[in-house]
Amino acid sequence: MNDTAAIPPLDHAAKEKTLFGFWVYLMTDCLLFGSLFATYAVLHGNTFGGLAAGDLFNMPVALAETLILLTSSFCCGLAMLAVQAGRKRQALLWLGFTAALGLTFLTFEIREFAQLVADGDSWARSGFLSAFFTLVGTHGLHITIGLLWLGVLVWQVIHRGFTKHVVRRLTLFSMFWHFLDVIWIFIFTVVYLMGALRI
Amino acid sequence: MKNNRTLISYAVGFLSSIGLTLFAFWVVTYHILDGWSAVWTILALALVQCAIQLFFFLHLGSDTRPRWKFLSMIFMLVILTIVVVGSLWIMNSLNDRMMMTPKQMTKYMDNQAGL
Amino acid sequence: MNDLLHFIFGKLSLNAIPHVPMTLGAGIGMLLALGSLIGFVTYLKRWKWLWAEWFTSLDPKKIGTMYLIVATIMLLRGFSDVMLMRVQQALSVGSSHGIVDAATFQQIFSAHGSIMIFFVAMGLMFGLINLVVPLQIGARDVAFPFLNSISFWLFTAGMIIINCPMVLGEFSAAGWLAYPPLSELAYSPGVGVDYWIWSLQIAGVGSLLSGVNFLVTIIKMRAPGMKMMRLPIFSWSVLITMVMVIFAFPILTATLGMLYLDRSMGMHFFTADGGGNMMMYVNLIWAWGHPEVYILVLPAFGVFSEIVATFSRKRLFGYASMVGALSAIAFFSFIVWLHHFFTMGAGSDVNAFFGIMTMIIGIPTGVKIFNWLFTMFRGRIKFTSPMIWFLGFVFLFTTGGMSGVMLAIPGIDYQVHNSLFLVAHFHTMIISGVVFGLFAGVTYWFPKIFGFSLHEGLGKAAAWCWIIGFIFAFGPLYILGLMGATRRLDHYDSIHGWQTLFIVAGVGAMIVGLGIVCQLLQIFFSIKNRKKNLDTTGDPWNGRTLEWSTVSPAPFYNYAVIPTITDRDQFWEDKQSGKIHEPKQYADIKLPKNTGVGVIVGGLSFLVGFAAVWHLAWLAIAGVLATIIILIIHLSRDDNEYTISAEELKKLDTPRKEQLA
Repeated sequence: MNDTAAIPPLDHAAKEKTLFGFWVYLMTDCLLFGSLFATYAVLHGNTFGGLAAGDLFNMPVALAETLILLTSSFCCGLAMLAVQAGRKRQALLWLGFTAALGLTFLTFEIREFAQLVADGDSWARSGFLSAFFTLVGTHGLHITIGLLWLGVLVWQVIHRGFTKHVVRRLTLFSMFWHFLDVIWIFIFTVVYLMGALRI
Repeated sequence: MKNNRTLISYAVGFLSSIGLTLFAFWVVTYHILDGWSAVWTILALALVQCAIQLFFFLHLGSDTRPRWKFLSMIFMLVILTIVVVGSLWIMNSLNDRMMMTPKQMTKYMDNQAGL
Repeated sequence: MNDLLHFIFGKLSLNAIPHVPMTLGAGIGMLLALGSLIGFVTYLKRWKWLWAEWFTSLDPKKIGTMYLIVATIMLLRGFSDVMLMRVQQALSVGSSHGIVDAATFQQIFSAHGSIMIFFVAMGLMFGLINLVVPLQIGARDVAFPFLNSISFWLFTAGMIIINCPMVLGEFSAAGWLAYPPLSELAYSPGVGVDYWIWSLQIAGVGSLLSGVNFLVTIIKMRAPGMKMMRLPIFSWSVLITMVMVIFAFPILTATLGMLYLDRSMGMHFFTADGGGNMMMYVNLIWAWGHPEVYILVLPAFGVFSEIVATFSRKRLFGYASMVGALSAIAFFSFIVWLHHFFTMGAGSDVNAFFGIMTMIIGIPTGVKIFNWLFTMFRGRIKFTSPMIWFLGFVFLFTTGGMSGVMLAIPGIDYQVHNSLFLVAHFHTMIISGVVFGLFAGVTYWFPKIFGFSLHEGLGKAAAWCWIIGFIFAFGPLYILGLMGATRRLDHYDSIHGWQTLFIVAGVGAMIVGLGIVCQLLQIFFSIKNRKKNLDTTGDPWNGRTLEWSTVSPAPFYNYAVIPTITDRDQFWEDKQSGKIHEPKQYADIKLPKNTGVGVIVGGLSFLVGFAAVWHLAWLAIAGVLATIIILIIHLSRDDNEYTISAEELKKLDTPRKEQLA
């Protein structure tokens, strides 16, 4: 297996068009999350007699989730460097780490959700919890879709190598993955940190 | 790795993001600041981290010519700010005036009538 | 056993078939019409042709045509709702209770608004944009042709969903925006609101994707030399509209999603209990809703700019200020939304801010009106039917706009909010602005797309019927609103003395109906006599912009060789200087292959929406999984284009050269 096959010359305009289009989609996703953030901000105090954010959320776990996702984003960046250099095995290695860390993040989050539900603090308990589960859950859904996408792309890298199409798709994926980490910064700040501050 | 320059930029982005995250966590968990001063601080830290990741991970500002990606992001931020801040301002006003208890309402009406 | 049945059928039961005679009759009528259509196509043995040439096509001219057809059908549905409402309100006075009961009436007005906005206005708009924009900017296709197909079929899926309540279940009775708590489960336990949610959600995603698509198209696929300030004004209006679409529609997606989560998973976003805040819904839905109405009207403004310039045989006055005005309107449209709920109780500081912003937004619109008038000044006007639509627009839209400035003042709004004055205002804006503009645009660009012109006489008759009909239909409503008549009334007391005005309004609606009949006849006779009305020059109106430089109908590849642009109104400049563009060299071109995946995704989306309405979890999950799988398969393909060789292109291009010689 030739590990350092050169990247074929890019069809520049077409790739640029697609990257820009995907960027525009990410901008729309910002508005989607923005609406959910605004709703969370409005409803975060509506606990309907239940526990508030500061009492419900486990800060060390939230920190761990944040650092895991951040590292995953970094690994994705390293993977893209390997792709640019044409190093197939290295790229697959870093993509693997990206996926593993992403999956770990998701597992932590699902366990957090499950625990809340088991304690009776489900999404139907109050406006605050509805907003919480929806905001964080929408992010988690995006992560899940991202992981599925990554799986398909890993398959393509293995079976097709670094064709111009595969490289373009990997670039789009990396944009998506980094973007999800940016959104998580705000979730961590607004939901978990501000929750702990009991604002 | 061939391309050391960009590896360094990714590493800088990664390490500064970790630093900012830990710093914000420390500010909150160890009660370095409280209340709204803490809120503004951690929001500022979040925005800085966001900018760092946009620059180092998402390579914003790297395209030349009309910077369409940058421009579209600015527009998005403007609209996002309007919608979020606008909604909070509106909902605050509405909640204050429309979600009062009967007692609060009586007091408010007396106040307005100059009693 | 019961559990199994419940799992399979969800909320479906034989009770779901409507028993109100009006609704049942309408549903049966719809099924008969559908059945006849299917039978007709089968008789002509045209299914394969429809699939291969139309449904699976990624040519924006075909997709645009399909949008127009769906929008027209929905216009007929929306208009039937109009006649039902007008008859009801003309008759239901005192002891008479009209022709429908209150519950049905509520579904009718809810359906009317939802259909007109989402399927008629948005459909006509995206239809026209698909037909015209690639040609105007000198491109062959849109930036993402497959995404374009997906957008259309999602739109159609939404259309099918909103028509289901006529045969299965019921529609929402909560108005076209479904405010909670009425739209929450406690007060709307049936499937009506869910139908509304999913129809709009699916169609809304289609619109959002189109927003991304056309934004990238106009920015990245302009012909070489077509700098931004050389862009045709219609394309400018579309570009700015798409910017608004991409920022407004996600708010709708989020809000509809949250309402559905309240209804299906017991969440408390907007419920009356559990810590919900129903005012947040109103806030969010209008944060989308206000930009939406400007999204609808801006392309119509763009159409009028092209039409006024062409039929005044004069350059558009103040092109740069037109672009500036469009941008200003777009920006301001995002900071006025509270004017839709002045009366919900915000403080005077909040109300004053949004009131002032609302009044300001009238200024750039005024700039545009003046620019159009200045374009006409000392021009050599040709009173074609598009110009008649335009003239009707200028008078009516300006008047309606003034009622808008009145409504912008919170003190006045407190008196007339939710009265017929408001109803008259927004219908004036939408009908004289959006509808007249899009009708004019379709008439104007029809020959370019189809190769023959529409019958002018019937077109003019239609325009006059709409204008006069509109005045009689909505003039009374302004007066009634000021007399205290509320909107959405299915019955009122005779003591008010309103009936005469309602009868006049009903007559007005019938005159509009006559206009629609003229339009249908126009289409019929134009197609029948198309050989006599062939557009042989490609430039039937002596146009100014690039699209008129091709043959009519425009070839599927638009331009054999993409032209280079040096001027605004390039085609006009070329005509004046006698220049004819002779392609020096043909090259191979690539075009997207047809694909049925868009249709399939649309169909699956319909199933998912239907399943979400009737709580068929198995179907919803299966539908989502199937959609994901088919998208992964299609998007993993690398061979989505086919090539037309240079020699073949040269052969295909001969008719154009012969026509222009």
